[in-house]
Amino acid sequence: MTTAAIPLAARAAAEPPLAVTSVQGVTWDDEKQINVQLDGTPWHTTPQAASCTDTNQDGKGDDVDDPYFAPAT
Amino acid sequence: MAAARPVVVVAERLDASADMVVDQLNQRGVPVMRYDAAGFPQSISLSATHEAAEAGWRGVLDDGHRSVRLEDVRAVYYRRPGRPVIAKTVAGPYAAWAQHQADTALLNVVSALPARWINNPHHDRLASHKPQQLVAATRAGLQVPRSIVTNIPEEARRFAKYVAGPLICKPIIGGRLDIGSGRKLMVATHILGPDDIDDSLRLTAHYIQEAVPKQYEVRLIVVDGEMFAARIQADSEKARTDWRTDPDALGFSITRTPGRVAAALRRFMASYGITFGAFDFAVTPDGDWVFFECNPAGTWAWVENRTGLPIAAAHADYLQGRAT
Repeated sequence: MTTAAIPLAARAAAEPPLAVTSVQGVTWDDEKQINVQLDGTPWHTTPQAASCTDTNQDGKGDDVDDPYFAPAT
Repeated sequence: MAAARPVVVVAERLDASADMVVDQLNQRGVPVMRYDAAGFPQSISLSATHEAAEAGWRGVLDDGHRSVRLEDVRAVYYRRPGRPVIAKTVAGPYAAWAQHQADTALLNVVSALPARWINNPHHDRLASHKPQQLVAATRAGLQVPRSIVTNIPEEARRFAKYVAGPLICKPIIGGRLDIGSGRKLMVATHILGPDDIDDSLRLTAHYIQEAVPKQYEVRLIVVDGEMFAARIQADSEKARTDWRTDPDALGFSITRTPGRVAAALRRFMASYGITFGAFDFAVTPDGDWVFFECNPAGTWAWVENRTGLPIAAAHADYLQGRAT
């Protein structure tokens, strides 16, 4: 692929930073309907990645392929 | 009995924001049914009926562990669920058709419920696009960057001359770039010099703005008219251009939303009929707040996590309702 075939804005493409929120040992509590750690404390009380790229675990993040696209809307 | 009316939470299972809201509702004793649309139709069942002359769907949504009667639902927190997954036994083209049927049925029966919403997905969809947001924000009284959307290099150069200052380029819509090797790439906001503009701009639409001088940035979460503003202090050049690209160079604190900005944001949200929005602002060295964009289902768990702002509680206040 030649440089001329890459749209100008896309030349800035780079890997998103790896700021992963840990989900190790996290399980689903069906009674509470939330995710919990091994000791039963809610997962959401642990540090969350301060990012809205797809490297965090706060849902899909803001910067995914049109997060608001659903054929049904 | 009104107090027993459930709140429905529709989200992916591993979603910290949804966890925070459900936790708040649990603490208040509000009945909750949380599901991910990805569980429909394999583990979630729906039966909804509509009468000839009585408006409103009635019926049951059941996930095998708990169920709600649709007519009892008091509020819905709808936060980017997955799409329905069809059984592997269904052949390819039939599976695609079946997924579309399932998606449309579940989303549109639920979105027709006369409940309190954060946010109705139909409103989210309208509120999510940047070009329209600039118009709505300006009408609401917010300051926005001078911007151009074009695929004509000469027009981009003319815009650069008009701005007579630094420019940035950003995607007009989020989305990863899969070049087939390693992780998918992200196109972040980046500096664009006038000499960078070339014929490759013709290959697609480009979104270019004046680079707003930043004292700091703000991630502002609005819930039912309440403002929760986190100041983001960037300590690297990368982070100052797009704070998402350098998370280790960020500092967070609480800041106050100017009254004029808050009033404009309430007008902005009313124009779209949304209750929640995650906004990005730059605050200039002169203290002016410049609107970048609104994410109508944006991330906020980390904002509460790092600042202690009671965002989940505000969600619960709204979903619970004040008179139950």
